[in-house]
Amino acid sequence: MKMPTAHRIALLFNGNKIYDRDIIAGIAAYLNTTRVSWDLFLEEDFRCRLPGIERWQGDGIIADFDDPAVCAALAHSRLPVVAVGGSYARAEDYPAGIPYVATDNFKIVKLAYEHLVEAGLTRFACFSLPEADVNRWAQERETAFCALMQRDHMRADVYRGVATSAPAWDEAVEQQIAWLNSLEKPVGIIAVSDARARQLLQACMHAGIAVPEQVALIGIDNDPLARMLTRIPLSSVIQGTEEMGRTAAHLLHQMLNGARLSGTRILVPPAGLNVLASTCHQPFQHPQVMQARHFIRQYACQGIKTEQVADYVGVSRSSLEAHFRQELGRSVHDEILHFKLDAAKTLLARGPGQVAEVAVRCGFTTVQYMHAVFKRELGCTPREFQQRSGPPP
Amino acid sequence: MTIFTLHNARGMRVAIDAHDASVRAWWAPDRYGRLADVLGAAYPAARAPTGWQCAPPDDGKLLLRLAHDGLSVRLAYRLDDDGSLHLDCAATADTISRFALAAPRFNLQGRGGAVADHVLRLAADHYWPWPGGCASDAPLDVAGSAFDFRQPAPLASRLAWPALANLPGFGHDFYWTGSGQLREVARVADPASGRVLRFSSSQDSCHLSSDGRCFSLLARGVQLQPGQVMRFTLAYRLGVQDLDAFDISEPVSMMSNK
Repeated sequence: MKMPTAHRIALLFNGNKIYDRDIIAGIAAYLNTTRVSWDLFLEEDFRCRLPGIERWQGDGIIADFDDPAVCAALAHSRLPVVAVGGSYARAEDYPAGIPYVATDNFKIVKLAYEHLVEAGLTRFACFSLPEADVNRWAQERETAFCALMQRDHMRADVYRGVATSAPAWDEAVEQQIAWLNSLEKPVGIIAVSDARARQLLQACMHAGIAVPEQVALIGIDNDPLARMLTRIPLSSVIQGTEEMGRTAAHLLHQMLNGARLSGTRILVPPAGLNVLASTCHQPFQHPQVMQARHFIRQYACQGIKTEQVADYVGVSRSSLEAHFRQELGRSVHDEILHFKLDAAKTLLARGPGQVAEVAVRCGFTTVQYMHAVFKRELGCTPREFQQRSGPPP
Repeated sequence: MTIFTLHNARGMRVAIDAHDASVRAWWAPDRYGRLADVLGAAYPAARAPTGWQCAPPDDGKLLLRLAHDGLSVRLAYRLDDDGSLHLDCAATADTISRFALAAPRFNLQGRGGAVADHVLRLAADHYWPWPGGCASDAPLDVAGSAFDFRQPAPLASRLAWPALANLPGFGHDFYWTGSGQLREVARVADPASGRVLRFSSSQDSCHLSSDGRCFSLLARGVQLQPGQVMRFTLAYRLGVQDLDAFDISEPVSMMSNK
């Protein structure tokens, strides 16, 4: 039997971001389930390089159309092309005659906004990027934000900031702080990406602005790297990237079988919401309790005591205790312990680490003390908790 | 009309209509802890029999019995504290009988929005491509089609795939290799409310139907031969996405029924 010749397919993405990588993963998943054999062409570092693409002897292309250079290079391609990119509010912004699989920018921003509303916020702002050809998606998310504000009769506060470069970092942070200070608090801020949200979170830390009490912040991408680089876990919208990859692969598969899909446009909505501490906003908190919890959230696992929290807030220990009792019904010590316990639970649930190491990392003075806290609060030992929440053997 | 209500320790409530044994309302919390009814309008249950006998619920359990035209069915509903509603069904017949349960129609948003962006994961590897039935040798492989939900996908963006572009919704039978044991075969998540529905079945197939406002997952209708005893178990479990580690790409556990 003669083996069918495999189609030669180029994937033009910049696989240095989680978004592009997940799209490529979705394409791979489609190929694995269908047993379609494609010879995939990607650069050795997964980056997109266009020179000579018009002379490439291939059968089809799936490409990131958020990149204007890609749009230009493929506008007159004689090969079947499937475009992947952000959605646009205006139909004329889509490339003509090319099937397009889009992440739905309006639904992404709407999901983030509705989450902030549910978290109790009543004022909103958007942290965007300076206008540029390479981030039209950021402008689309901004537009979506403004449309939602207009729909709900609210003022749309959008800040684009400056493009960051090493010499201008300090200046950029200063300007972000000035913008943050100009906003009436509490405020819910949607950042157009997790990378952008991380920068703003850092500015909040520098300026001593409590997150999420004064500024509740949500990003887009659910990027594990951005989460790793922030002390306060960042909430984020999860895009439907793998499904976009599967859809793009399916469209190209159909085109290679002769289907004409030039007018096809498929919008993929966000897949979910990762709600973490940066949007766990509780309205109507006493300002000193707010400041104290902000400090505890950052340093609980470094073994802080009530005195240090009171020092940070600048009040006496007894008056801080009184405010805590009144607002939260528990002591400052309980609150610190609560955070340490949560951190320990997260670490233990994550995998087979040593209990002693977890105790150290979460600021427990001894393993025995952590053991006692687990017994009292959860009715089990740390080891039992780990076994119960770990993956089945 | 007689409605019986089951409660659990977490404040969930499920209302069951004793007339046709259908689930009429299910009050379940969203990610913010607020309760809402996640069932849409009652399904026009064409084949679902009516005239059930029912005693008030006892210990979180509701027993219904049906005897008519030689068909005898015993159906038990049980609401657990983990948010799962179990259905145990046993049926026998004197003559050839067809029988189907009324399908609960879910909208996980719980406030009458659309189900277009609900994300479905379904362990089926085959499906029946012609709604309503048509001559065909065997079900088709889902691979490469819009019906492959072995990885999660939003309902409406799948309906936009070229082959389906004219379908208003799903109305299809799906098949997997069953073992007769109850196991989780489907998960539906609503990103907006954070609610997740897990569907478990002891059967090897289900019927998925959806329109803009609701979806349902149910055992297909069964045909009984005289003297045959048919048993099956279904479970719907409503919860919320794990706030700490929501990961839609984590594989659905198909083997264990946690």
